[in-house]
Amino acid sequence: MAHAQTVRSTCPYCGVGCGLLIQVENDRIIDVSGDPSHPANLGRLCTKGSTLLQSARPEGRLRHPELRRTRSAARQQASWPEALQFAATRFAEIIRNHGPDAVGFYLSGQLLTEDYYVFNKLAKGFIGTNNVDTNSRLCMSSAVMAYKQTLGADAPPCAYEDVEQADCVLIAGSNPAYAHPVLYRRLEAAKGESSRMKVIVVDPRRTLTAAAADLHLPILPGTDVWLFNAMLHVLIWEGHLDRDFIANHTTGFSALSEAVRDVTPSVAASLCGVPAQSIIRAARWWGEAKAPLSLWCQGLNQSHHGTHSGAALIALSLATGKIGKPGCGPFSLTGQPNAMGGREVGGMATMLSGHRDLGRPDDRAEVARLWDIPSVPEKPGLTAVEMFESARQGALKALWIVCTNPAHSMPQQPLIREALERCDFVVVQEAYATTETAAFADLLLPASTWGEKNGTVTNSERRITRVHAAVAPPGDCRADWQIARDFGFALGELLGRAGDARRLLSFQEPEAVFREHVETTRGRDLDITGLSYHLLDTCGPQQWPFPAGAREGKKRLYPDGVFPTADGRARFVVPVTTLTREKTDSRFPLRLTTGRLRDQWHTLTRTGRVPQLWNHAPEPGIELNAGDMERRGIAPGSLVKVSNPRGSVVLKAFPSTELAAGQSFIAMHWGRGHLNSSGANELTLNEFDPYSKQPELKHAAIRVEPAHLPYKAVFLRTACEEEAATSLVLELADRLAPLLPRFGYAALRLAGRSHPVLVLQVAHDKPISPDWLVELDSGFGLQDDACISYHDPLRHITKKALVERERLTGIRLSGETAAAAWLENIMVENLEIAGLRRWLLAPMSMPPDRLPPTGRAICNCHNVTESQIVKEIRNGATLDQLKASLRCGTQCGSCLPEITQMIREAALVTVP
Amino acid sequence: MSTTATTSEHLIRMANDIGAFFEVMPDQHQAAKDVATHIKKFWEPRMQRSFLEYLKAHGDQELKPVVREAVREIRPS
Repeated sequence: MAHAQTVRSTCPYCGVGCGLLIQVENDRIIDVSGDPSHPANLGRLCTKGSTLLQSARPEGRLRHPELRRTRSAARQQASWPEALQFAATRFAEIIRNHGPDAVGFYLSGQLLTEDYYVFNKLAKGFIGTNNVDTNSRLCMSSAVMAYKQTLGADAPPCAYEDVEQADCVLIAGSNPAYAHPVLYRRLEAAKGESSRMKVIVVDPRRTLTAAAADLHLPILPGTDVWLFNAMLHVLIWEGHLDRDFIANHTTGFSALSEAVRDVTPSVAASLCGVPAQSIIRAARWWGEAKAPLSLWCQGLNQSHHGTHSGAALIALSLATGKIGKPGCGPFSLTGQPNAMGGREVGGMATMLSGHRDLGRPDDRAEVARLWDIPSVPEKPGLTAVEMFESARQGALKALWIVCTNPAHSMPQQPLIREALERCDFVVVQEAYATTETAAFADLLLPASTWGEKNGTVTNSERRITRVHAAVAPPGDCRADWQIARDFGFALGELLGRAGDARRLLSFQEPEAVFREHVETTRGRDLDITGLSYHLLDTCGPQQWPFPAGAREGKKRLYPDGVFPTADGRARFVVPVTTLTREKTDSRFPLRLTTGRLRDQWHTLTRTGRVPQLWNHAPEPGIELNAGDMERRGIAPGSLVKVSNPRGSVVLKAFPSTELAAGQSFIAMHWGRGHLNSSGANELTLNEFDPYSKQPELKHAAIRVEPAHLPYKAVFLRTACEEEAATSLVLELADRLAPLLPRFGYAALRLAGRSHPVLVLQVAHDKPISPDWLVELDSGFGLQDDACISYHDPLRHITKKALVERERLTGIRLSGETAAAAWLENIMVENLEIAGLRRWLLAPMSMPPDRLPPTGRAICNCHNVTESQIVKEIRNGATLDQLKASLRCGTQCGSCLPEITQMIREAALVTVP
Repeated sequence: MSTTATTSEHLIRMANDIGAFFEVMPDQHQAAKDVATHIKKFWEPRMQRSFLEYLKAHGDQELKPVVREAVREIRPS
């Protein structure tokens, strides 16, 4: 009997925290849409959120615990009691022999608040170690420290509606058109309605966010502090300060104004690489605005001076008294859906529950009292980089990794791999069996994931939303908090402290965890004693603080100019003046910056499984300035070796108009699941900010040279029917990924939409070994007897085509691969091959007849390609006409900045 | 959309692709023969006809040398 129901949840990707309505029928998710009543998105979703339905598939899911008792053995399926008992035995042994600080937990900004709470209490309250850190250390840790150093608390003071009420928006180190699309839609709409609003973008790259701005400041990487100091210099010089606010509500201004006295726009201009006039203009717009707002993200945070980059930006709001008012303030955007919630419960190595400080004895005593234990450990725990470094050196002996993929996302991957190999016992608690990190696990524990979990999350604007489970998890998967609890019980038995474990961790459901968390916030800056599951379910998502007796949360913090510091005043910080950690030189002359794509998220464990999300940026690669490519003799699309003393990767080189000379860009999404290397993070360095401990993932010095890998092969595979094709392609991709590292270059990707194709491109310095080819053939199901073949042993050329029911479903080209692109297109379009049959193995870079248009998809909702849009624009189409004729940009709108930019560029070309 | 120009351009590119495939062989005469065989064997008569007509009208400067030699093989003398 069909029984349809609608369940409220949130999107598991970025920190905007969009509300979702999940439609369920017979324990299956049948539709996902934006929740019109959620204040973050008001029903909107971006390309990633709107394809969540396609991501909810069984392929790749870890369904049962898997265990290996020795490193050399293969993991075997295990039962939960067996798995937890083994984990507890190893942990107990290590804790007994080496103390509680020999174990560590590395958690994730994607966990729910309740999951974090239980892990944090398990480590700090029960085991007695502060070695609990999360991947938000890589994400907004610097923003947190900047807020704490200046405003006194880890709390973004703004609300999303400030984006609509501001008249000057300064976006620094952030590309919200890609990374926070739904918030960017709100900004776009507000800008469209107000001719007064000025948008300034600070970014080394001319991203779509930058291209659409009134003023783009393409500063050199790492020079942001100098820019903000020079802007402050202009604000002081031209009398834009709020002297009363500075006098009554802040301290430290005289030291900062002294420090920026000599930082004139021309001094900054020479360091930042932008004209002094642009700096002056930006400062004037900020100074003259009624409501100036800053938005920042990883470009500032992922730096060895990320805390001070944030502090220097916040100083602009404080100096002009523009904080705590509609449309005003410094607003840090969060990269993950619940990094905020993780910090609220103190789930990091340097903090305690309820935003309490590990370094303060009274805070520690308070947490001990709340948990009813004698004390919480005093020694700060290991933060992300330190934790893996300690494991690499052999001090940290057991590592429990939950819902994150450090063997891809951490900087300086060669060291991370060493750490995971050296560490005595590695537990990975995951929804997916095939993450890069899972490969290192001695024990894999199956966790439930989006759509299957119950609890709460907090988004960038401090808004807490209830997340409801829509369906039951597959196999033996369990909720993350529950796994932590049950492990705690097992460990308690072995440590002779079963009573303690029961007393501390006996939660029966997430609501009990939430109630306890609420109690720890009483009287704190984030007091939510007025909140309950019932209130969140009946009245909807709420911002914190929301103390008992309140009728609503606080939209904005600090409207009265009183700050949560000892003296109630905000502080100006004199920032350091260093630039990037690593300088370019004659051996490593190019700057590498890293970042995100529009349609992918993090390490691709989820978005990488949705074929249509590959269509906007179909191939992994390094983007280079076109002039730099020409000078180095690098042809577009050719393979290059990208290296520095830490590592080396081979990628395709693509010319980019977004990059200045001397700069390059690699999206951080591609790792060993899709390449023969970890991509960008083979090259990044693990040096971190002294306050936030956040590493400089954004910048490294590199060398780029042509890669000589003349022996090429391409494999393509699909099936005749859509569902079979999707399933085959996803399963094959998981199985093939471990074979990639053996090649000089290998890239595995998805193509197509509802009828996907798996594409493997390989290049090697020697003729590819026949054994390897046979192994790949059998992986791809391209055995000799089923295929049409061509073989030229003298030239190492072999080609095979698999035709099933008049459809091309498999290809192997080795030695000569000219036809790969159009053969892929035939398979994506699922064409009847009829007359094409005799051409399948021909060495032709074009098909014999015209085929349907292909190319990069700009509009992912309606599958509208670049070539279709260009054609219409050439015929004079406006945005409205494009929307009417092609329907592009009419659904989620994530493609609007790019289409607008295409129209603008076309106008530049045709204007006489 | 499909004009004679694009079709001919297409055929020239196809021929040059095939030329590029065979021209790496040490014996250039053999390579030209292979190109010719390929075109005669795989191209439809209609394609071969319009390819040759185009060459007659516009000359063979756009072709790789190995393809030029192959064309002499294909053309009924």
